Amino acid sequence: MFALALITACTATEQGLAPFYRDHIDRVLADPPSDFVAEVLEDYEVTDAEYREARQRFQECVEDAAPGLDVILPSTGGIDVGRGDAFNERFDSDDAAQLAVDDIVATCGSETANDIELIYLGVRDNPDALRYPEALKECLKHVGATDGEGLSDAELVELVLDESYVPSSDAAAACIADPIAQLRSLTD
Amino acid sequence: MKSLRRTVLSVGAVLALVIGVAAPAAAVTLTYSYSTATCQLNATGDAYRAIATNIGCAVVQARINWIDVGGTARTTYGGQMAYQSIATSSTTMVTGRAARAMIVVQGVDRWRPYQAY
Repeated sequence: MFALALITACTATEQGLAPFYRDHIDRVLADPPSDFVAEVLEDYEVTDAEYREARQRFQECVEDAAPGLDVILPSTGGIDVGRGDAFNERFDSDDAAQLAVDDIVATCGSETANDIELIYLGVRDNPDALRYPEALKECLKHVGATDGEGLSDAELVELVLDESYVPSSDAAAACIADPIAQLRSLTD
Repeated sequence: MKSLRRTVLSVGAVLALVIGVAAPAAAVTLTYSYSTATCQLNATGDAYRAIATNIGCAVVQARINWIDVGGTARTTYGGQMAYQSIATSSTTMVTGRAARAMIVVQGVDRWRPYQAY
């Protein structure tokens, strides 16, 4: 079942988009989004090329928003923004400059890559849109950990968020931190 | 791993974060992951719609503030993740020592500062 997570985004969409992602796209399209985001999402599929273009647009939008911003696109998604003097000198404080960057990134992201990346990476990494407790139980089972065995979903979540709880092994701890990534690594 | 800390942040709904820092002299690797474990309102209902209308946890995003080797303040914004994607992780190579690093988890409407270390 979880081998599905290893299948590319395109293949996953061919098999049918999980209802969670379809609902999310419906909500985005109803907002409505920018023309670019609408064009990409209206077919309920995000191709590799569309994802790359979305990120490129994100970068250009931030760089064009104000002088002195240096943008890097991490391979893992998201965006990295450096504030140079030409940007900082426009503000009275570091906090004000940071807030301005946050605002630029939020605005540019909503017009370009945010929802496209959410769908692209979500479908690629978690095509079945497993919820946290579902993925965690699957992961713990894969690594042979008995942590939380027999608990309901809610009880399991409560357990792992209890500060006094210590995972039974490093593998169990890895499952708790990121069960989707851990499951992917286990099935690679 | 120089340090590994698990911390819980209460945001109305609770988000669990795990931050690890490996720190050789000239480079710092920040690895973060988060899971929107308790953004789920209940085990059987349509949590997504409930969350979208009631609490701001439909989408989360991690943010790391750091200072590069040239003294430039940088911010790494993780990709936005649907809560039902539940967890993600990312590794960022920092070219200089991280003078300051902070994980920020974003609900739909606001950033919540979280002092990682």
